[in-house]
Amino acid sequence: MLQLRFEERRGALVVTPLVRRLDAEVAPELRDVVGAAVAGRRLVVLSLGHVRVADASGLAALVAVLKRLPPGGELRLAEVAPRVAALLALTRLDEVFPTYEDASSAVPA
Amino acid sequence: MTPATRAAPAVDPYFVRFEGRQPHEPAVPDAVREFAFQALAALALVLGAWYLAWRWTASLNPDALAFSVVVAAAETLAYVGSVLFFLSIWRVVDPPTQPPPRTVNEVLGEPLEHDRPLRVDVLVTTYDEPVELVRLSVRDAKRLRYPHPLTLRVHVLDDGRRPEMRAMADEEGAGYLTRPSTVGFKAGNLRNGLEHTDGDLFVVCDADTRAMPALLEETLGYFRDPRVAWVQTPQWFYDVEPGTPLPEWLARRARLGRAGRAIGRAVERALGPIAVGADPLGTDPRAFYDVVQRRRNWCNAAFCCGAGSVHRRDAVMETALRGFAERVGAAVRPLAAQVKDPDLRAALSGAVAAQAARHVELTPYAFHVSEDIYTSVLLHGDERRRWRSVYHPRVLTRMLSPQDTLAWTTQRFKYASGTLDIALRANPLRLRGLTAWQKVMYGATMFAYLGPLWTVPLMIAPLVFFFGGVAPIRAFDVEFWAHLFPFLIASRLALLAGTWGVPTWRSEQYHLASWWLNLRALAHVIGRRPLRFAVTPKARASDRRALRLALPHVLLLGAMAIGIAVGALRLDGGAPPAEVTAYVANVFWTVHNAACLAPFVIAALGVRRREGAP
Repeated sequence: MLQLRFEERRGALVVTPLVRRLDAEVAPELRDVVGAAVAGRRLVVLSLGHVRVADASGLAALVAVLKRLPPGGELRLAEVAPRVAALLALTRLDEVFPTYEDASSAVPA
Repeated sequence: MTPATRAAPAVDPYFVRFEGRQPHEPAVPDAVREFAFQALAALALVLGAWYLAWRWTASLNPDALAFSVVVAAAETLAYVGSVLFFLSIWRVVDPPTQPPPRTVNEVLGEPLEHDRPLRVDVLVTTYDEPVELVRLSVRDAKRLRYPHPLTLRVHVLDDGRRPEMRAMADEEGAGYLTRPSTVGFKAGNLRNGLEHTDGDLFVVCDADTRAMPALLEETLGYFRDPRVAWVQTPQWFYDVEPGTPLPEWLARRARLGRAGRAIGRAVERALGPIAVGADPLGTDPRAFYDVVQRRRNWCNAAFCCGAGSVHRRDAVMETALRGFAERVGAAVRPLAAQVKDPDLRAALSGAVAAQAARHVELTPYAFHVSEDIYTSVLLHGDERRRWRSVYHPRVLTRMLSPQDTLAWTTQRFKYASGTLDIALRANPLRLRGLTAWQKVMYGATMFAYLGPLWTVPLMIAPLVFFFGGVAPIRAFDVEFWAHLFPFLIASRLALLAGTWGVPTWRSEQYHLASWWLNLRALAHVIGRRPLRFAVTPKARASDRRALRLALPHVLLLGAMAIGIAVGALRLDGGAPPAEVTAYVANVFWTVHNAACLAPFVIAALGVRRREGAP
């Protein structure tokens, strides 16, 4: 069971998955639950502070969430662990997802 | 329902009589034979080059120069095809077998903190196939053996969205997945399957792909190498007409008794096993798997064939993500480059990426009619990961063959247009990540589909001779034969040695008989007409439609017959010996071509394969 924390921060939706692995096992739920929550949001921040490792299916779920944003919406990543960052770079998704040090810096003041 | 009441599925059960059939074992590699093949092939290539050099410099007919050049060019292309073919079957190196992994960590490059049994999903894709046919596939998938604990889940991916299919999946204890649209056809269906499953590995099955119990046992060991992305097994059409062994046929059908049997055995000793009347539709893919795919293994170029294959989820997904990111990145980069301020640039990139991402598909299997070969090229060409493929030589799945020429044509047209489309728009030869040998292998595959460029001129050349009295060559004299025959003989022998134990005559026939459909595919792709994903029909077509398919062949055969007669009339009245030789040579070549085209016409005219079937 995937646990997620949702917060409002200055008009942005900050989602924090409370899992160590963002992988194929949690991907379907992440895609469905977060995908539904982002409807109509201009800015969504995924705060990955708990996530140590991700696999390609986990990142594919992030893409699915991105694709469900309304026109003009944006998905940012925060607190990306080194191994997750390495996979983002390997798949060149670092060009698709802007990454920030933490959730506060991802949300404009 | 109890198992007893649903033991007899209500499908047209013509294939039931093949149920007990066992697949052939792959030919045992033999170093001496392989060396003989390589020596003969090298000899043939040298002799062929020698012939062509002579052909271009000393044999063109000055009285019909344009015609001569067209035919010589066709011969040259045919030669290039032979070079590529021989190179592509140069050597057999089967992958070393590995014991089946016990846990997931044995197949991962980076182990999990908490190890666990492997998870394997079997994905059975279907669109309009009968429920009871799919039931057989599901049942067989549920019977897969494994020596260690394994989480095995079977899923029916039904693009037909049929309630009765869902009911069947429930009855059999399989998962049922469907989606609101059929976008991307099979590739889209598989994507939906992958989005809803979490197996470390997955097996791709078509609706009629029936796994044998040892499928996982024999193939999962290869995944111990974390770079192995997929394992392809041979596709075995277990319902293909086996034909009658030559000694048996000579003894009984030809009524030659013991003498016939002895002659048959002698011939088979020299040429390998021969079955008369086998595979009348030319559907048996054995030559492709046992010869072509198996010999792509050593240089990591065996490609995925869409069914009967096991895949590493992470490899497929990662390549999909890369393709997605590249396309989104291509939209973002030009805009981002105009912004100097880094913070502003990041913000802008994010916004543009989100916008672009809405229009780019994330597809584990490219939305392409030849999604299997396309994805193989992408994975092989991945410079950072260097993914490997394995071709496992033993048959571990069985499936049904196309049932008539319409089904055959549908399937082959799909292969041809798909491969040509890849050649034109995403040519593997341009991919930096592929090795030279991988490029030779993919190059040979693509080049073979250009076949009509040389087979059509070479089939028509004798007709021009018969009707117009014009030859593409100065003279069909001793010099001509002395240059051509050594090449022909050496390449026949090379082919015999290189494909020993695997029947190839039907493939040769149908390669030539595909001229019309390959020509259409070529025109289709060059004309940028959309490629449709047609489901290969599993039932027989009407006779009229089948006849229409064979019409170009019938016309060509008719022209050949009339041409031979017209040519004979021309000779009437003491023609010089040179003209007689020219006539004989052209008749010989035409008869060979007719023998290749005839089986297709006979099949289309509906020689019933399923005698006794209801």
